Amino acid sequence: MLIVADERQRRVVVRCCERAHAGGVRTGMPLAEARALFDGAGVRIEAHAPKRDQAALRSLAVWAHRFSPTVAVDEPDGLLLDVSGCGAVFGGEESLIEQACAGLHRLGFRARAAIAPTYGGAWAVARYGCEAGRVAPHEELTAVLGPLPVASLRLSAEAVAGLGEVGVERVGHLIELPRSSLPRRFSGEVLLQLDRALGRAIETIDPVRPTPPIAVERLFGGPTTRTDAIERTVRELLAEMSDRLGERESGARSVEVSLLRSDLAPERLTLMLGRPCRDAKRLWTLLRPQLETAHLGFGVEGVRVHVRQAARLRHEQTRHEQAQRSESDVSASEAERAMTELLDTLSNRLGADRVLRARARASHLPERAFERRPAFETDTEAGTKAAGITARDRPTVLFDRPVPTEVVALTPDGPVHRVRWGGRERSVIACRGPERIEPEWWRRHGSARDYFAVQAEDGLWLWLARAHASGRWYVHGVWA
Amino acid sequence: MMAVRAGLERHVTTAECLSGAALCLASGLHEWFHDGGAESPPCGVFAGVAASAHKAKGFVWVGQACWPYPHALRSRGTTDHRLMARSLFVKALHRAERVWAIEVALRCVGVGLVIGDGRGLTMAESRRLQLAASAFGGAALLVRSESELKSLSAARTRWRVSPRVEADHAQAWTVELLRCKGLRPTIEGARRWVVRRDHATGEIGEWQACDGAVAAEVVERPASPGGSASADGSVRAAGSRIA
Repeated sequence: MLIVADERQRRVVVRCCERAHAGGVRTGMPLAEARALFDGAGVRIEAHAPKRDQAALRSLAVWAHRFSPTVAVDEPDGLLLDVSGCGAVFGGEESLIEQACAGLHRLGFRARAAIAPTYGGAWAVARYGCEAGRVAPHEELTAVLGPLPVASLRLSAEAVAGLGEVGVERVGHLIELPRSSLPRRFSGEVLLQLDRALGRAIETIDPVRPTPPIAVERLFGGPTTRTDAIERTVRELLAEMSDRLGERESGARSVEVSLLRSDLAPERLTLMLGRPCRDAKRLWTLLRPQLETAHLGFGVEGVRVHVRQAARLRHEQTRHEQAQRSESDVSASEAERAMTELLDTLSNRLGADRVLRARARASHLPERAFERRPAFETDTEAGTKAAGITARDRPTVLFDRPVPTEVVALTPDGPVHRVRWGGRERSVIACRGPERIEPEWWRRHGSARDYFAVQAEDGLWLWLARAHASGRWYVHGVWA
Repeated sequence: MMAVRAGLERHVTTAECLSGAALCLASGLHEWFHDGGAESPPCGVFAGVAASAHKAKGFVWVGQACWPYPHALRSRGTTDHRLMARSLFVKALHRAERVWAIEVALRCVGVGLVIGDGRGLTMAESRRLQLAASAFGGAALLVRSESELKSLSAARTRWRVSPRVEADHAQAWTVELLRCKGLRPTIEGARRWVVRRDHATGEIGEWQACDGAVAAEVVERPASPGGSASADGSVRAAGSRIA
């Protein structure tokens, strides 16, 4: 397994798995060279996705809160935990390290960990120490760090190279040098990082704060079937939830309300919203029809409301409700927001699969050229552009099922003379066509059809289709 | 209450009435009758009306019977109205659902035009929709079958649409204004238009007055507490007050 990234127009290995490492692959190696080592056999190559790595590391930081309340992400591949006093809970600091490493191993990570009095010290020991899982006590810190390379001090590559030029390769060498000469001879960074590692300078970390899911719950004294009490509770809980969403500057995209029924599984009511919302009143109007039809069983013992999906929703300055809404003073964004709210209202009452939006599809068959998809899923602008939509004339109403009809024509491909429609025979006064529409070749069924646009004597335009294989006639649509 | 009054007092000018399509966009219910046996709802005409609606607002098509073939809503190079992107299609199973969906859509500020299947609508339901429409300034085109011409309704206008034979065999319809509350025709009988569709581009053309020029004026009566407004004087007064 190799993870590669583009670097100056060539592909370079950024990370590799253990087996590849054993085979001689090193980071920074060009991909072609790494491939040559394995003759290209059984190598899986994936593109480097730093954003996904970051996100994964962040979620790992949330996981690591089980060991310490203060966890920080150390980009790109480390976690820093403040475990002061936490060791006692896990039966000693050695045991804590063991448990953490075992936990990470179960998740599929190979980790090196160390505990030291400073973040810098722990960082150095974990990455450059000879044995992982090492606990360095305070008084031994200098002795432990001494034999490690200077790179373990989290120095930049230039600083390491600069130190290497004058023969300073180990941390021990650096400690022995006179302190006052360090900033002058090397950059200020060297002294700062050395001080941080040895605990002479204070280092702060930026801990990750996990966001607990928003859930509010209220239990009744006993099971109740009184709808007014339940409604009132749900409204209170929605208001409480909205307040908490407001604190986080976010809004709910999906809310689940569970009615905890005695002796029955909880009744779950779900709300889906087109755009994030934290307006308790609005949520209540959407939820109300569902609550009215909810089955209460032998009684409800409690109500729980939780946000299943949240999204960012900025605070907005509230405005006075406009008394008069004339056509001109509705701006485009306001109209769009009102439309999304309407979509929520309709979808939550009728069901998401009954409020639809049309979009074009890659097909030339009239009945497959467009589809109507739930408006929740579809982006408004997707598939509405003219590209791919035929420029030929199509009826304004297309029947789901073509209506069989009878037609009089002098020759099979010639113009139509009479057509039966609406319960009586009509003579045809104008005829356009034929337009041959072949079936989709990638779908191996159906036959070619010839389409005619004909005008009946009373002016009605019909779209007639003749199936090529059977010779039957159908009315597929009308211009109305 | 202010909003309600504002909706009711909106008046249609002569110029709007002359262009025909603008009258359908005036707030209220507009019932469209067509020969239910042989013909389909006039979706092409509706698409043409929709194209002249407010540019930023959306459309809601309620009831599968009045859904057009999306090709009729496609965007066209120069005059891109984004009709398809702005359209929502609602599948309603029965009349009560249709009425509810139309009403909700009429109450939405973001909706420029509601096109609904209005077959079988009762007087009470149409009044409810008409009230919602005039209170929120929404317009709805309701499809009705010609067999329902005698049924009562609170709709603001009633139209009949039928296909028409033109000399050049263009796709064309005769659109006839059967009833319009508040319309005061100065020339009797001039209430018919010809709507043509260009079969090459699919554009619905301007409504052409059929029998010479139409000079009619529509003025909404102001909502009077007694419910009875005198025929002539109050109508004029309403117009001048807004001006």
